[in-house]
Amino acid sequence: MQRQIPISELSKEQLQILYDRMEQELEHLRSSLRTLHTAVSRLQRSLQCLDSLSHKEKGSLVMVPLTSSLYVPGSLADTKTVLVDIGTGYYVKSSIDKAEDYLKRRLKTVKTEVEKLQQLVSTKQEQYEYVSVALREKLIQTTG
Amino acid sequence: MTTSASASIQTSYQELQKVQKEIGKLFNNKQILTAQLRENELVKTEVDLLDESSTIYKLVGPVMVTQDYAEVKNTVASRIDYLKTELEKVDRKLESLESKAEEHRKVLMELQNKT
Repeated sequence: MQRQIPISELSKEQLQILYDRMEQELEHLRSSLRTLHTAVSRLQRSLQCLDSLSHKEKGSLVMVPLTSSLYVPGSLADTKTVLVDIGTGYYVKSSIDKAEDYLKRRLKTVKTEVEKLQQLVSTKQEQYEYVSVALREKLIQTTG
Repeated sequence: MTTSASASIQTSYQELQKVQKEIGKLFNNKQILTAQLRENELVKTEVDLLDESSTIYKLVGPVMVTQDYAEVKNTVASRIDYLKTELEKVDRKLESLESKAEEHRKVLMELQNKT
């Protein structure tokens, strides 16, 4: 039961409200996009770590970070299995290969989400610009 | 006459604002619930890919506790069910609040047209 009203028929106040709302929406979408991008880079870093771990031998020396500035020497007790965080506090013991599969799977889903969101942002951006032009015209009309 | 009219406009405006505030709060709730549901669904897809032989830990405070595969599966499924019913509840509440806000808006418009 939604009525369609052409933007040119909206009053100045209505346009302003619409404009503000779209601005908020866009900002929200952009911040979601940023979050997804950080997720992508985190997953990629995990993949790199897995790769470098798979080349290491058992007993290799490593420096273990206790804090961001304090490290202690240690040796790798196991280079074949890792713990994977699958969310909501659950961790799974898995082989390097399986963990790699998991990360690649995650990366794929996040990347498709990024693409979807990017498309949404660009269409919203177009609509937003359209409304902003209409609003400016209205303001010129009423003041001039 | 005019003072009583402006007073009733004010009260109905305040009521509308109250309803809108509640809608905003519920909307935030809904977003949190949706995010949790999505996360649990992701966990479920991962758990479904595992089998009885895999070792699953659950982080409880600072310790990792081993979990039974079937138990994990059950917990995740029940959490998803719970979140879904909660989401439905919030949706229904949002719907009724939206119609309430619409009513308030109508009343307000009528009052404004009278003056």
